[in-house]
Amino acid sequence: MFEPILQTHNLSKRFKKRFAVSELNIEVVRGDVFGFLGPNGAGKSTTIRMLLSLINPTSGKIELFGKNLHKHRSEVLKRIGGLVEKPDFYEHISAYDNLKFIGSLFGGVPQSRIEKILEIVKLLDRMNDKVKTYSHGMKQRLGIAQALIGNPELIILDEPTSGLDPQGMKEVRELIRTLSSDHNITIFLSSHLLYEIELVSNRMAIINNGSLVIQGNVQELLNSGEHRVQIKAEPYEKAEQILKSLPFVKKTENRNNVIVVYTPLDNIPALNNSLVENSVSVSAIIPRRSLEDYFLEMTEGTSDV
Amino acid sequence: MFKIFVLESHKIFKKWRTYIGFITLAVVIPLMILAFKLEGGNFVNNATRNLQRDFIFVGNLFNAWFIAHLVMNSLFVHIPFLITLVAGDMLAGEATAGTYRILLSRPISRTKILLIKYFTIIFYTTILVGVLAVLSIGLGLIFCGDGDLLVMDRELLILPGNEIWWRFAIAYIGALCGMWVVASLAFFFSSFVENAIGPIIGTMSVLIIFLIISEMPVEFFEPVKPYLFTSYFSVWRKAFEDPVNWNQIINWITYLIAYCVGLFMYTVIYFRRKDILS
Repeated sequence: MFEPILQTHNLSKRFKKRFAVSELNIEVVRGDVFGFLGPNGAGKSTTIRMLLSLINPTSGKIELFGKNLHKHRSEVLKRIGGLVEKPDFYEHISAYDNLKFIGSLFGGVPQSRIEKILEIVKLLDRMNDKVKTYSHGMKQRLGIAQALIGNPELIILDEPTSGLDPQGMKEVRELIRTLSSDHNITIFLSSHLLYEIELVSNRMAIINNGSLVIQGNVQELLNSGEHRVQIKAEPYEKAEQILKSLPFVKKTENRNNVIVVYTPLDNIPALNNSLVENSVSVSAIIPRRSLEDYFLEMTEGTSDV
Repeated sequence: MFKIFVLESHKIFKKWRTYIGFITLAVVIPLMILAFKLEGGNFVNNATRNLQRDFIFVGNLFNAWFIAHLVMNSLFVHIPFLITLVAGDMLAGEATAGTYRILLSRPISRTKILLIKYFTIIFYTTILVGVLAVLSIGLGLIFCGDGDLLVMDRELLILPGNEIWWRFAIAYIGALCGMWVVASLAFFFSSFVENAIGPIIGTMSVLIIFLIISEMPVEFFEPVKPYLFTSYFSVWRKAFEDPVNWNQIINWITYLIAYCVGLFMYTVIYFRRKDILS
């Protein structure tokens, strides 16, 4: 059931003396929307370029669908679609002609398939317009369309919402969800936008300075370790004193009469009991741990997001 | 592969820069014909003045063939520039546009992609030389008529009209091989960089340097000359010698084709290992 379709084994890439990617081991399982998270310059794009055979690894191995990418390049790439960084196209020809050309690299794609894909990305009515007349959002959607052209089982998307306005970002995220749920396509999604990964991914890996920091289930990773818990309670001072006295609360902060404490998720019932038993009226306990907190923890504040 | 070749050709023929060469020929050749037409009589008379003392020239020597020969002489230094404009952009243009990423992450080998692109530029070069031939001979026939060919090279030679067609056919094939080498060189340079300007300037620089060395009558350069492709550029002129030195024509054309193959193979070797960072 959990069939790994993308695996890297000690994957490394060195540019002169600098390692852009070092000993990277990641695994993507069929059906995943796999978030590949890291600050700018962490090695995400280099990894993706290696996965799409644009860059040759210095050492290590890439297995896609259980086959070595280097040895079975064409066979493996037939089953993959990719969008690397900016969605660049042949601007002087139409979207339809672009897709027709890309389709020819797969051995030819019928007109009906191209039109169906353009319908999925909502560009059917503009398919005969030259790409140079497209907005950035339209090009981004066309970028996803070209990734779909070969009817892929796996799509690798490198920062697909980059440069889009909030509406465009929402549309692309919805499209990613649709591709995963309705079309059973496994998605490998790189981003430096933490909430994006949180919103669409079920599993993720964090990369920093070319090395893997951690990988796993997004919710499990978020639920492990300490959480930031916001508490609204009256009387405020008394609540703060009680919370400070609890052994499992390491730190408290006051933010506009909202007490913020840091504690593992399991301690919240005990924390609530202590307040209630001491006649403190609790109006809200909000455990929050965003991926951003987690990410910053993991990358030790080197993120530029 | 043929389908991709057709689509690749469609792609380059949708680009404005592809037509610069054709437009240039469409402007320059009629202008040259007009200028020759206005001055042509005097031009031929001056060239044959000494011979006219002893011989009577019958028929029209200032004709389409004479003009086509002159046009080839005049333009074969400039045509390479028009070719490099497109050939230099074949790979570097993909890098500039960022389209390497969509092209090279597909289930088709880089060698095949290079082969398709190479055939496309060879096709373009062939069409350009074809247009040069059709325009200069066609317009020449319309405006200046038919006749024997007066060749003014190291000596004055008049070639009979019944030999002209095959001589021109061989001349254009030889000239085309020379232009294929130029296209191959620009294509080779184009694989290294991410901007077409470098390959265009690089190819023209190599061409100018090689042409100077090839044409310079200096002993010092003699050992180098057989290795320069420009030494065989004038193969087309050999078609207008009498008698025709077939062995030399075949050898020179073979050398030029060998340069094309060699340059293409170097391109493949380099490009297969290239990291796409654009």
